[in-house]
Amino acid sequence: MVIQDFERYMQAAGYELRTVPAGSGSYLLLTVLVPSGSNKGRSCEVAVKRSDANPWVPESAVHVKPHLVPMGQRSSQGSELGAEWQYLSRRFERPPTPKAFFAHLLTVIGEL
Amino acid sequence: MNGYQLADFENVELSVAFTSALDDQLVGHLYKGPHQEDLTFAYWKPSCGAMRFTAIVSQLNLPQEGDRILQGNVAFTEPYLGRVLAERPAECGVALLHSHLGPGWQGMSDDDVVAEKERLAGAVASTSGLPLLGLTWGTDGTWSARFWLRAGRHNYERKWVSTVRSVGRRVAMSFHPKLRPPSSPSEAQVATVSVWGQGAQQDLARTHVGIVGNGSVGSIIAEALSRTGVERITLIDADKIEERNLDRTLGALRADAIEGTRKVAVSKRLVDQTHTSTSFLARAVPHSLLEAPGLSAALDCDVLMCCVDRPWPRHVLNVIAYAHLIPVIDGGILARVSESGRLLHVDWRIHTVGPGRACLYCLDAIRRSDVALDRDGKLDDPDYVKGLSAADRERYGRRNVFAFSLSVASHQVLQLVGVVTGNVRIGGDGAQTYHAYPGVMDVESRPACLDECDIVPLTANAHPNIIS
Repeated sequence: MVIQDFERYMQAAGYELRTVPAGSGSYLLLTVLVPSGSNKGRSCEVAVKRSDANPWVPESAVHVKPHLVPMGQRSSQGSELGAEWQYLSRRFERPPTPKAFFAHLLTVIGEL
Repeated sequence: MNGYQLADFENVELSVAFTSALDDQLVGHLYKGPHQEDLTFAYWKPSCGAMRFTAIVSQLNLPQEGDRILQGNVAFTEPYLGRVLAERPAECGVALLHSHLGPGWQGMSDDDVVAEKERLAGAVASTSGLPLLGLTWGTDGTWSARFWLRAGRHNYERKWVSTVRSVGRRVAMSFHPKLRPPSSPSEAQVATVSVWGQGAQQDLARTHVGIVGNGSVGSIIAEALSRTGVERITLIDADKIEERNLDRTLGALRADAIEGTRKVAVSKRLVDQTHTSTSFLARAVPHSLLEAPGLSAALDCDVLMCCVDRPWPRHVLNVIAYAHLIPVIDGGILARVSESGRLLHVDWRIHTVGPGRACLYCLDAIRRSDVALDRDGKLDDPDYVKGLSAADRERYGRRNVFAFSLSVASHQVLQLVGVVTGNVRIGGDGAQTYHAYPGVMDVESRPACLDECDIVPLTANAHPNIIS
């Protein structure tokens, strides 16, 4: 998978994507509804680090805005995207497909 | 290499590679018995190293009824050529492959030259922007190949490739008899040749081996290869020798630690003094694989020895093995030590990855999340590492001693010999895991990738953008 595959998949599913620079690179941003857990139904911005490498190895961690848990809990820490953002440190080991990676994003924000 | 002019390739080595699966498909099509030649067109992609340009042949466009004229020899028709050019995938070059009726590296008949130089070279170059590639199959399985490079207006000149490699569980190499001639084994190699024979030694000697990482394991492999008679070795490492490396880096002296000598310089000094071949060339590349000079140097090689422990460069090597058809022989050590510093257990693993074999992910030799963390600098962030689980920290611990490295290096070299010579009685036939206690080697015979593996589909795609 390359990042363009993920972008096409998300756009086909009706998501609006934006790219913002941060640190030494850039992030892909999309807005999702938290599907489950204590934040169920909240609107949340999710950021994914961009890379044009082939294949794309997505960052397993997920950057979210606003903070979904008190900072420091549930393996959360600050994000290079800014103070409003929260970095949720997680693992994603499956062969990445657009569908599997989007499911990972939803799982991370939905299990809090 | 601007525009594929002949002059641009004066000091560039040319090469061709394809998978053994494609080789089998080609032979099945081309071999028509002792009296009939045959042909097909194919598509290829460029793989650009620092000093070598390789055509990765990735896809055939086999002839249909009426596409060629078979009269003992063989000729293609204009409609067939038209179809091949029209169906050419984006960014692919065109190759003409045909069979001859004799063994060994094949020259070209006058008819062959007319077909490639006069009928095809200009049409292919103007359509694809890439030079025509011609290949000839000999009845013993040897492939010969040449590019037709632009020498002037409507003028294309032939430049022979040095090697053609067919990559599967074995790397079967065909060598141009003058550009890469077989050398006679030296007196110093008598014992080695007595074990696996002169033919295997000549194949091994002419295989260009890259060693990525010249620390504990890599430095040992370097000397092992030079003594064994490998004639071309490329050493890739950006690091310098430090005091803490002296307990496990072969050839490193205290003065090197004081002066901060490059690890590749230490290994080069070692192999220049210990090689047994009559023609020897070691190249020291003081760059990381993750830098452009390091990556392009790796793409010059026929086989790569992975002697780095960081996940991100190992991922890059894993991709190179499939996308650029350069098998990688990987080794890794995991030493578990208690909080109080007592050794609990140590394992080491050795495996070869590339077409026809399971990749590093499917062997569980690297994890995608570790690769992303390493790439993003998290593994160098002490605060981040402190927050990891004990199991994760152990994986990143990089504990090692010289004796472990000796064993891993030895088995990596044995797997190299097996891959190059095709002799499973030297290299074994699977992924190896050694448990220091009780002292057993487990062998997973022919492990395969998962169905959903995303690395295998990269096979022969030659994509240049692996890192950024």
